[in-house]
Amino acid sequence: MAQANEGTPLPVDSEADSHAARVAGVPGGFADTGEEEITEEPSTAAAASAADEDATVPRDRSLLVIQDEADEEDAAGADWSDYAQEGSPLRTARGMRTAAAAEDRERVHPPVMSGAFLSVTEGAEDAEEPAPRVGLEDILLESEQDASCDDFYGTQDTTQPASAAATDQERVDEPDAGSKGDDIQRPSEPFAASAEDLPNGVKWGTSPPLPSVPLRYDEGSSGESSPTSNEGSPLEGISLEPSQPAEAPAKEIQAEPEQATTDNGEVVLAERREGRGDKGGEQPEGDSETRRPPGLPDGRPARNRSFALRKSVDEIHSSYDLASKCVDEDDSVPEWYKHDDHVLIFTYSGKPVWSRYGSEDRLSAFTGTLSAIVSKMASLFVHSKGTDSLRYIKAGDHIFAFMERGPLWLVSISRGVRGRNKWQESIDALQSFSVPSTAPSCPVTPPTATAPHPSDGPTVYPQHHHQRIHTYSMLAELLDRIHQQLICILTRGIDKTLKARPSYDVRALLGGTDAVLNNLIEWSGRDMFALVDSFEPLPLAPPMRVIATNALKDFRAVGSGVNPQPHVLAAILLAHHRVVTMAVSRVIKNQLHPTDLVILINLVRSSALRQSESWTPVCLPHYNDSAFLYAYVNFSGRDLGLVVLSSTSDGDQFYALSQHFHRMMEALSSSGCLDAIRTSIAYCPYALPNSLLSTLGVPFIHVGYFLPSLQQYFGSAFSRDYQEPAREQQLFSVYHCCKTLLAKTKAKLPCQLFYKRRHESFFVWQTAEYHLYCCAPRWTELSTHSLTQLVQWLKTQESFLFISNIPTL
Amino acid sequence: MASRKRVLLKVIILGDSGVGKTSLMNQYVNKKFTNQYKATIGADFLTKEVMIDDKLVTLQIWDTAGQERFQSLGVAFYRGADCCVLVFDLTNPKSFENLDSWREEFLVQACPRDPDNFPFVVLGNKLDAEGQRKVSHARASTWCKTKCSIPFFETSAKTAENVEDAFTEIARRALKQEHTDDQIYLPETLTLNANQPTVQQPTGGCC
Repeated sequence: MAQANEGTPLPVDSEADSHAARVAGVPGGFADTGEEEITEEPSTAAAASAADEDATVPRDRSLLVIQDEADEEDAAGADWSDYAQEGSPLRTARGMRTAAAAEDRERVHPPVMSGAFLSVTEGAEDAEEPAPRVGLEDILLESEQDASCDDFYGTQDTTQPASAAATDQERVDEPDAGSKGDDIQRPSEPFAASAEDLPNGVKWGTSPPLPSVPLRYDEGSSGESSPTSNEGSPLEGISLEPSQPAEAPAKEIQAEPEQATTDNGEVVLAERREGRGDKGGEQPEGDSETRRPPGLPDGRPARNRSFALRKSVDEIHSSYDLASKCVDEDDSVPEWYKHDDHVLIFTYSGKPVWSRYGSEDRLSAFTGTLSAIVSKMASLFVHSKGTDSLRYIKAGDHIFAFMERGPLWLVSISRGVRGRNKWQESIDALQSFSVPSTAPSCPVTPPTATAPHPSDGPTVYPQHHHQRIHTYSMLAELLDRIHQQLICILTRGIDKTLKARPSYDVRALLGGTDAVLNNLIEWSGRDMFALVDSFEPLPLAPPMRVIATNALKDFRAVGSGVNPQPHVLAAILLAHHRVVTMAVSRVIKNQLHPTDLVILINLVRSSALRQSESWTPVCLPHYNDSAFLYAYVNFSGRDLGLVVLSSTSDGDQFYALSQHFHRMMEALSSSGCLDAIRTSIAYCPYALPNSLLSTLGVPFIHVGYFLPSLQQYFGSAFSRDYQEPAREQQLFSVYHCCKTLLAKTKAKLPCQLFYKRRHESFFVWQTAEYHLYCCAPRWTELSTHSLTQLVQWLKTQESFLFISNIPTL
Repeated sequence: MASRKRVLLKVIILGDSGVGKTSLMNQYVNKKFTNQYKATIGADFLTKEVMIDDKLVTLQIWDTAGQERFQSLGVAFYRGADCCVLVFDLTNPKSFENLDSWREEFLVQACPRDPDNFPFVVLGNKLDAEGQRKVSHARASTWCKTKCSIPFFETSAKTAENVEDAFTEIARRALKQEHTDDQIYLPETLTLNANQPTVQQPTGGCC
């Protein structure tokens, strides 16, 4: 309890502050952060790099490039601004910011300071109008970037012994690293195919409808397409990579091989096994392994250790264990403080409602303290007439994010790094948000000099690679989503109750919902929905989706039953958490918010509802946050489930919907659609075809593709080396930072952002039509050509990836 | 899974500075006492689990600052309290006289639904310094009787005399208060008939 109170002065920033700081800092971020890479005058840099860049980065109306050599995590973290360099074109802006920040420390009155910051922002923007002044031509993509990449290689090769401490598996991968310098296409190598080679031929799932090998294993192509081969890529007939090597199915094969051919759902797996066998016959694994760049997903189940421990994002909902809540802990035991991401919910009376870790009862002193902090801060914002409130507190490597939602208050406490190291401390000094003056005087040790240098690019990571990135905007979005999930369970009626009776104990109403809230948090960090506010469809061949849709919306009375349709508001067919198809009534049409859908899916997937056929009240906060609807939930297909929202709770409706479910399953089964769906489920999340990656010349780590018009997204599987929750989370948090940065700079569409970290390059491309989020190993070159090709290819796959037509009931 | 959670009660302690609020709380929760005086800044929070009539109860104790300059928590502090403990110093008549204003302050800030029956408990602390007593038992009891029969205890945080009993009474009163509250939570059900089309048209092409 003393934790929150004591200690160093806490910089408290209203959002205006942080916002302004970031905006002002962004231009500084153009320049590099690494000491040795301070750029020249912008004009020279532009001239010098113009030629280099020409083919390097897609041009568009606004493009931000951030190169972050020295350290990646924290740059993407709370303060991009602190990376401003003296040599950057925006020294003035930074100076102003620093001055303002200095005042900030002496300020008495936050609202006033917010104003000051805002004016700085405007000044910065004026000074640096992105489009005309800096624009494309001035992108400070270092001209020596290629050289530095080579250095990076060189270092890796020479430090090869450093990986001796690696695990066995990592050693297995070492040959890759050794051959990397020779075999792997360098950024300069024109690996990418010419324009005619547009990978339109690459197909994912133009699958014949029936279970007879709907999706073929990628034979040969992945093996043959060695990185240096520049001949016409064997795109024909390429279908699908076995995803993020669906580990679970693999296990099932071993466990019950006989069933593989008997059950519909398992046919797929049997085929896949055969596919794997064939492949093994044609191409000895070892060979292809050594010839493949390390980051390239090769489609085979990874053999490394982390993979075995991995909990796929598809398993989040089915694997919650109450033990992870650690109910024996509270704020008096050290273990409680070791959890990285706390979330606490309490009432405005300070009574605990829910805690992600520990016993709510015994944390009541802690929630009392938090509520005292919030209400104390509120007295500082009295002049803002209730429009402002405490947003976050940064203290050391922790960030406390606060959110008030009526009488419910939410706090997340996240730790950016585990433990402290010299490396981190130098970054902290650089990053110190409230005390900018310490940055120059602090002896900054370039992390590359002290930290164990990665010897094997994406495979071996130094400790700090797992540092988490937290920004207020991410945490605020998370807290808001958690609040909506609470409302989904309780409705806004809880606000009224708490206002009438402030001492009301909400915990009694939340019995058994630990999994729901916890899964939402875990899922949010590892999936795209949190990034783009949308939902993910199950990739499915369009004819199959039409069959599924028709079966789904075929409501009619069965036998002597009643027709449930008049009360049906929406019907959703789910494959795990992905939507196969859905139909909505005209009552709710256009009002089904994607976030509502996501929290509904999380609710039905997380609780006991998943295991049976049930009928439960739910509230859709965006649709109507004050009242319940009723949901018929049937997950008897285990991976396949039906959710029907109904406006009536009468019992006949339940039986009518139950009959509907069985008829629908029959229809799906008899048409072969069920097999197609199960096949697709087994391949989720989909990996990009190797042949496509070869054509593009970029072994993408991850690609996310979002269509704003449909509010749907596709997220590819992570490449093999990144299939670990911590790394997935980290990449998503960088995406978040990129997105936030674009939003904060008020970049007009279309806009692009390029960001280099120590190991990865990120590219975000937002247009009115689509948003592309992608991430590739740093040593590869993301060129205009390859990215355009990627988008074009994704466009050709849209009918397979997305639900283009959501019919009205 | 949905086991009934134990009851959680918010108890706040009010009174002039130096009367021994923090000491009482420390004695009760940690069984410790120190002669050193350290002004509470803002508030302090402690949790204690007690058994009241076979029922496990968690007390969330809010120990406030008596000094005016540290009192700025305002309404959030008093809000949702299940019981309010008023503490005065038996050797300091001024602290006794101020109980009235503390009680008023609480009722104004917390706005309990039934102010007359809101559970208060009065503690006259520093019973160990009997020789310097300035407020007689009779005087204090009389005041308590006039205020809807508030229970009155004379306690010593130093010797722990009566402390346990006093807090048990506090918990019992708070629990009673909580029980009288109607705890049923009934949200509405959405009615869509108003904007629902009267005739449901069967969607074509689906059958």
